[in-house]
Amino acid sequence: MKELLSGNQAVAEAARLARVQFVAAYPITPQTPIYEKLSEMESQGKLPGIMMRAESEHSAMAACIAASLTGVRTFTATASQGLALMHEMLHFASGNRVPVVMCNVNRVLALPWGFGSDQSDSLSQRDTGWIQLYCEDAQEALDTVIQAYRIAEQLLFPVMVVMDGFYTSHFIEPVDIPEQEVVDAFLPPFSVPTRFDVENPAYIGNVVNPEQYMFYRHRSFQDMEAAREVILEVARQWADLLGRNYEMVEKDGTEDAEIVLVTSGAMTSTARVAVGSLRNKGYRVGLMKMKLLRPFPAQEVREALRNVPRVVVLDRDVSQGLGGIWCQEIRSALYGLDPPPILSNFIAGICGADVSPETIEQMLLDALGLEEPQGLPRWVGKEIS
Amino acid sequence: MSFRRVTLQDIQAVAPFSKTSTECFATGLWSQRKPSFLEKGSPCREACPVGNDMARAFHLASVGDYNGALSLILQENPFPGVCGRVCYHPCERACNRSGWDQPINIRGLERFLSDHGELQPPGNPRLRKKHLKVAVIGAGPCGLSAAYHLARLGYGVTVLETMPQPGGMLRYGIPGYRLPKTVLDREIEFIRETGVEILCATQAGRDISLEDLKKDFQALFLAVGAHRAVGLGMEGEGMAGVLKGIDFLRDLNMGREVQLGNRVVVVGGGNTALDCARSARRLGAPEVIVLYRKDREHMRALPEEVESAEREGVRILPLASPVRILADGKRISALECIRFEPGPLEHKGSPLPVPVPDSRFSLPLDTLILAVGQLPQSSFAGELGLEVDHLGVIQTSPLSTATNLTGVFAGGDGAGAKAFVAHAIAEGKKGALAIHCFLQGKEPELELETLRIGTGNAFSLQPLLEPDGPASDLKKVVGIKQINTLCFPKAPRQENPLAPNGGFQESTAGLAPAQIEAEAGRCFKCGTCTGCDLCYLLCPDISIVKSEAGYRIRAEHCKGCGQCEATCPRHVLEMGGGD
Amino acid sequence: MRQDDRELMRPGHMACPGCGEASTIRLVLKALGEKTIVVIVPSCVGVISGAFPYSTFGVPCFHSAFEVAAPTAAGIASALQLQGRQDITVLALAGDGGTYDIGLQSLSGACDRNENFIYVCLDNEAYMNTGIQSSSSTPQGAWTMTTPRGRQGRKKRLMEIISAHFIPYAATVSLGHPQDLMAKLEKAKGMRGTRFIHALTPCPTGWRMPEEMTAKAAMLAVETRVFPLYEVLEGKRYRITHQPQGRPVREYLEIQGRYRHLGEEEVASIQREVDAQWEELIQKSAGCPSCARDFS
Repeated sequence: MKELLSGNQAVAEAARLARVQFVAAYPITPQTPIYEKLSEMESQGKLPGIMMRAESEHSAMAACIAASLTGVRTFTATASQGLALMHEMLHFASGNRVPVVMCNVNRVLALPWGFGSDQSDSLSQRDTGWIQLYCEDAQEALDTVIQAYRIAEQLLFPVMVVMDGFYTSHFIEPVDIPEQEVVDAFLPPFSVPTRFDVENPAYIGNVVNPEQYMFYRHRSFQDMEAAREVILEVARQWADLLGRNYEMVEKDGTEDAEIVLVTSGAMTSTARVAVGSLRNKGYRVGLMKMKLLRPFPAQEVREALRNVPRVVVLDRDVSQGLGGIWCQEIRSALYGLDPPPILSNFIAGICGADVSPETIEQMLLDALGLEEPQGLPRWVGKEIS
Repeated sequence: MSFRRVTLQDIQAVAPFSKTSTECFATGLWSQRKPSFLEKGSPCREACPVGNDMARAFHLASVGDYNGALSLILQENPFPGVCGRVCYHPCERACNRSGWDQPINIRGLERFLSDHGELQPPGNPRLRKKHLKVAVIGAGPCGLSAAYHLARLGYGVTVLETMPQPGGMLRYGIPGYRLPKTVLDREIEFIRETGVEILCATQAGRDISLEDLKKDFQALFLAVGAHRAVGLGMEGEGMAGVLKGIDFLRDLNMGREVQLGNRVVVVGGGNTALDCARSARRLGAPEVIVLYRKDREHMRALPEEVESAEREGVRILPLASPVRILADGKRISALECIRFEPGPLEHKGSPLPVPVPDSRFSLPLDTLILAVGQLPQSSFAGELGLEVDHLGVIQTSPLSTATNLTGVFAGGDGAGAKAFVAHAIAEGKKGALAIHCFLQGKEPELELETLRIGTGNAFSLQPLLEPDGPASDLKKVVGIKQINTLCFPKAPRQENPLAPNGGFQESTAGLAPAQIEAEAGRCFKCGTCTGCDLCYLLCPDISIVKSEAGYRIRAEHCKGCGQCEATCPRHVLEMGGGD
Repeated sequence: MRQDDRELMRPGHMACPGCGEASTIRLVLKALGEKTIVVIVPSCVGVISGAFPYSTFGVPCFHSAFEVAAPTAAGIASALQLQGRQDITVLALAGDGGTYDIGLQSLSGACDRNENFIYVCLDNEAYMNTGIQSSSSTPQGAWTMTTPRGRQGRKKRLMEIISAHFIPYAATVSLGHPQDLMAKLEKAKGMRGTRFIHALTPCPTGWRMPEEMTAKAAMLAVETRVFPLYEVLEGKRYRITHQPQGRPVREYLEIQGRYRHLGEEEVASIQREVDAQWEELIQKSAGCPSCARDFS
């Protein structure tokens, strides 16, 4: 059944369909409608369980971790500053191997204050040990949240589902809301055992020595490496049930492309228009959409871009002193390819600044003219009018 | 790819789970200092002439074990009912609580226990019955105490008493309002039950020959008392209207008719004087005056006796002394007195009374009672060939009560003991120990030293008679500095209620159970483990183990912090070892 | 099993000799029993509780982040409620740093929501685990490594802050009065909602006093009225649970090296402050002081 939903509403519906038992949240623009929608559902009896109106995102995450350790399915959502405040607890979640699922709605980090999208908030959490899944639209956000529970609970990793503030979170689109029975068939009830058995008590999270620390970190690393297979399988099963397939790396016309545009999140939709337009003009343009940040699908990226002469990475984010974050990831995945593609990086749309299909077209055309890689990223739309 | 349920084993493989007990860490190695439980003496016990373990008695009373508490006292003293009423309670002066708020009413507990507990011979004497026999001459507190303890030590004991009934001064010297005869009878009966034979109206040397005594008994203990009243040596002390205090009280106690005038003057500052004065009031004398040479605070009578006397209308006239009896014909009519003032301090600390020049005054009266002292009366000592001094006091070794004759021991007032009942009982006990040592070929001085409580005069027979009983280090006496007063709120002392009746019924009542509870709560119970759990609960290293048998130190984990010693309310725990 | 006898803390832990926190936790666990889940946060308890693979506690325990003792406990309690396991008590243990300072916000949030757990603040009046740095619980005048000339600020009145949340139960406890402590924990256990226990846990190391003085210092704090024992029901009804002897504050200060530098006037000033706060407590408790004698 399709309904007109914003990305935020779609995420709330997904949490409901996943039968989350414990929600802890704190309001922050542009995540607030998720929190409000869940509250509304709760008040209508559609969301049985407990909703904690936390006094901070940090506490919300702490409570989710604790509840998850105790054996219930948990959910929270945040954005920007809230995610930054949670940072410490993100490590706790992954270090504890709890299957917490969180939606992060991208927003710039202060200062200066702003409200529009910027993936830097979630990208800068890439080393916290979470699985991160980026979504292009409301439908993908809904589908991904449900999938995230399967992934998290199978792998014992927390999963962050990411969508762009306003573009995805607030735009109303037709969204297919799966039937509860379909979701139930896909996602069994939470069955990860509690860590707190009073009959068989154990101490969780105490101090370890350096060797033990290394052991558990390495164990997590191995498990994260093995996660790609699970993520893939979950997506496949979802596709079997609902016909919507999301790949870790979505490739459109990359095989014989003279240039491939790499995007993630909401800008992908704009890019699709630009790519279509250029193809109509005769260019062999491919599009590669990055869904998975961690574990990074390096092998898929490498395979997709082997033999592609030019690659453009479009980042709605920046790592100061280096460049776009996605670009860095792509670049390191391509290390050792011979010949290496001519890689260029565009930083655009930060704080929700408008990036039109024409802008993207121009970027690609500019890149096609390049004969060697550029050292610095090119910033688009930076002028103050 | 199939998905499977995550198990606890899966989780444990990826995140640290800690389940092993820390008990394997021998933190006890951090320090050589370890605590030990050692019960100790209390200052009240050290000060008690008979060595009553009142701290422990209070503990037992606090848990409602009145019989147990009474049995504990009976280890040392067969007269809890007597001492609980008339003892001069030096224990209370020594009480650690007096340095905190007010001393505990220790005597009140002793009386309470005698009233509410059952007199059962304390434990089974461990020492086997011996075929040796001891004769005790005199059934006063000293003689009966000696007999009681000798019987408990396994000897056959026969007490010979001249008077028709046993008890000595307890019966014939103390008025019934202070010590009811029923209480005395009960405790003498108890002494009999312990195995003591008491033959009354039997005078040694007259009714039983010395030869027979020497033949039948392997040792002799003389506790003949001091029943001969002394006077002041004034002319006319023999005339009508002049009585001797001890004679007056004896007549009263034997139910004889005593004639008193309207104005009675008692001379003396001891308990006998006060007994005479208060008895005189009870007999109907409208005006009774007690004349005492020194000032009030230095009267030897107990302060509460003086207060009671005044409350009953007795007038105390301190710093005055008679010098001459004035007569109206053959009967006394007045007493010429002289006033004194406190002079320089004597060696005991009380000021020597100095006559005030030209201070003579005349005190008109009908009856004069002289209560200025008593001396031994017995001629038996002389007949035996005992060494006596010019006053007739038998000379003994202060440590062993031995006289100059082998096998003959003596104690009590007749041997110059202090005149308090408790001292008489203590002397008897000491005599029993000395005779035991004599008969067993032991050194009484050594034995006494072993059994001595702290550095006082008292000793305990408990280690000898009941070696499995509560073991405490008799030599260590807990002082106020070792008491953790933080555990004790200040609270008013519970006094025995007055029971004024105008006659010879007991004039004070016993403490009520609620009062005992209050006093038991106040009592520090110095040196006695009450099982309060403080050490057990406070130990940060869970190194004090609690069981039915009490507490135990688990040295393998004890880090030797010493909190248990520092916080023990009553200094039972002590750190040892290490530096 | 009687609460006195059961033992849910194991010996062999790594607390300093004479540790007040160790004693307090032990008593708390005794009172709460086997069906307890403990949340701890960085503090000396992180050391006392044992390093992997050892556990000092005989109950489940989770070492959470510094500032989130309360929401962590709340999360566990919520999950237990969802699972119908309300027979299990959730206990949060945090130090004064984790409570007065870094964890105050999250504690306030949990109190406000009346989350269902017992929170015990183990107050040793400074950051002891990191080596004696001052917290907002450090009393005025007290020496720490970061207040070498004595702290200027005054000790925050935590119980007032907590009471202002109208939680069902708040109480002060002292390890020097273990029966009172256990009775309060047992009382708290029988209630639902946020129950807050403020425990003064003297630290011989940080207070610069001999290690045998811990419990005595705790007792002195109570008897000098520096740390009175009372409880607050619903944020309104105050009840004094132990009538203090009212000893001079000097007796408490002089056993601690951290106050050694104080002069006469400073001691007198502390005394005035203690007197005033005691008077205020008397007013609030409106004539229902009751005192129990623990160790007669």
